Amino acid sequence: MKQTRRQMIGSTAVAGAALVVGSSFARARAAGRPIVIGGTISETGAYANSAKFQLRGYQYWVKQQNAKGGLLGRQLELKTYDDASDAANAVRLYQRLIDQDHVDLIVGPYSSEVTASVANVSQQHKMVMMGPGGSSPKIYSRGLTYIFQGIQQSPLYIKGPMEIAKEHGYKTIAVSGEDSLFPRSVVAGAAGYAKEMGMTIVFDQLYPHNASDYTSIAQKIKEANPDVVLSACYLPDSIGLLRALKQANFAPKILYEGVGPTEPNFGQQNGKDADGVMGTANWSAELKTAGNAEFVKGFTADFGTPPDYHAAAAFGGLEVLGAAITKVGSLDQDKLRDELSVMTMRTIMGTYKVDKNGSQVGYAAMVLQWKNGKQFVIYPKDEAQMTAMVPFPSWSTH
Amino acid sequence: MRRIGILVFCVVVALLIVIPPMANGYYRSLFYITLLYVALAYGWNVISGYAGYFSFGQVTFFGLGAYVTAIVVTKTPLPWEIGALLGGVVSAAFAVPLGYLMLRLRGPFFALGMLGLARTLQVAANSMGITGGGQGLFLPPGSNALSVYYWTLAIAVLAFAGTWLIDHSAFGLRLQALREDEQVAATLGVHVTTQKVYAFIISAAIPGLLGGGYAWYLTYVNPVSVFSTSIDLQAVAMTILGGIGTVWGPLIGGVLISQISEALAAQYPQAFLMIFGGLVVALLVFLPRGIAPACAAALSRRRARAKPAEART
Repeated sequence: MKQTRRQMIGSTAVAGAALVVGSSFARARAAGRPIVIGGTISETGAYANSAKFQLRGYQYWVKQQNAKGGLLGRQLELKTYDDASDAANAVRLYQRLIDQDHVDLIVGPYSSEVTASVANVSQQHKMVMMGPGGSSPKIYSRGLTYIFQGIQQSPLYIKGPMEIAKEHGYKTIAVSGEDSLFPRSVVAGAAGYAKEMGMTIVFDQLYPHNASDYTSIAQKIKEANPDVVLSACYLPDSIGLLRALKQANFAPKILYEGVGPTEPNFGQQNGKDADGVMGTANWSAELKTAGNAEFVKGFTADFGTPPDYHAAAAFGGLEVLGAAITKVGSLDQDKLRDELSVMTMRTIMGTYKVDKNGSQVGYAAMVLQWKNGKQFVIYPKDEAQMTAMVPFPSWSTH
Repeated sequence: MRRIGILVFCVVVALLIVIPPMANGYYRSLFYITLLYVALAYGWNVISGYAGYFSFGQVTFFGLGAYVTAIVVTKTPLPWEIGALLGGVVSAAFAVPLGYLMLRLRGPFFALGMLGLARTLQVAANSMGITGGGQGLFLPPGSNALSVYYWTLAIAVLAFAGTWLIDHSAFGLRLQALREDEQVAATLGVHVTTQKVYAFIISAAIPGLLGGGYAWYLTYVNPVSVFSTSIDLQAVAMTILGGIGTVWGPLIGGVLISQISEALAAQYPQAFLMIFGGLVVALLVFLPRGIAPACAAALSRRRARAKPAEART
């Protein structure tokens, strides 16, 4: 019995020692070996559909870059784990990528929620992370210095419609939208912009997630009688609110409905009623940004499906990271951080530029508008496919 | 034999204290998550294992603890540990009226009632201003997760020791009596309602204390993540596989399941679920009472003398 006990203690001690020794190995690598880029992707769970496009965006860039000779004379390799759409899994797996697998670079996971938790890992390990999956600006405003936003900041979405409103001299605004993380962040800056542009917010009320009836909110908006309605919607509520406004026979001068109108379904569901409605798009296949046409063509050929904005943001983020590495000439994380903080670069997403927090300020949030069953970009001006159709037509002339 | 057991226990705890500061971040995280689930499994084991009230909503208290901590940390200058402690106190206090109310329900009705309770708190967190609504709460990024690890280790050790005490006490016997037949237990003089509520308070305080560490570890809480049913389901599966209503079950099940998941899940997400499902079915078919009772039975057969200390059901 004594023997067994001693053996047991002995083997536990050995296991413990092995852990310690294993962890203290240096991150030394031979120059000829590939540069390994690590990240987690939500291959299963709630975010699986969109996250798959983000993964393909990463894969496509790595393939393209390897065809061009890789980076710093080394080939590139992507190593990903499945975080099952769970932040605690993602945190542990990023530590595994960094501490166990000794990856050379990390790239961001999908969704604001997971990015918020993983950002802390990037900070602790002092490794730069491009986050194409985190649109909420709150992730970046917590004193973190190694994370960079690779997607439009959601509060910038309403800047376009507000500037268009200002040009036309409109003064009063109604703010609405769904009450959850993303829509709330879209309208969070409305008061600030309104003050800056000399406008007044005459109505400000959100509706709950999964609401089914929009008559009361439409009626309240009508009573406030604003020139401009800014509502942060997904697809279902954008359709519901539009129908309720029609029923209430209220046509504001400008009607903006968040990301709902981005979807082709919005036009199919609403027919002529969609005409004049504005929405936000982070990226489009028709965009004339640097290399966009080639990206769409090559991606579609490789995966048998056209890219969406998640794929484009992932690709764009790696374009920036790759350029920073080439400029710095090494994988020194602190030098990369300094470079990513100050550089500007044209990508398929638009011009990359971040503020002191690492929040994206360069990528333009494009405004699109429906006309005769089609979407047209109306903002920013240098990307515009047509001039904005303002005011929104009255319901009798739709 | 008992002295050897205590010695092994002390050595393991000592190693769990000494190793993590030297280990890398990944092992620290792995140890943390393992201990978190072991402790959650111990929490669930008291009300559902010993008292026999199957709950699918103990995550209610985990979420409550996480939110209390997030609010304390973001709205006051107090450290997160105070928030986590407060989360445990609030959970235990909340469990008193709730226990009197919910424990009138039996069997599937109690299980469903608790599931509904977790959803109710999730909706509440989604609609209140102080919880940040659907946006959730962002905590300041911590310098490292070591404090969370030690906090969770302490709770896991206390939960283990507490379970051992319950298993060897009159309170434990009363719980098992009411589990087997509540009316008979009452007839024999067991004050069943009080005993059940005590068990429920313990099963609420443990996840309540753990939630705060989780919030600090993730630096972000939202209604979906901290009230997730899958947190409950994992703790339940671990306890049942390890041995429900036993001292060693939650520990064995918790360590085993988290290590298997870690080894397979990240690399083979799809295949893993199949292997895992097969393993669970096989274990339940061959060891219906779980691993711990099966081991205890084998041990006692081998020693050829009856000493069913851990195998009592």
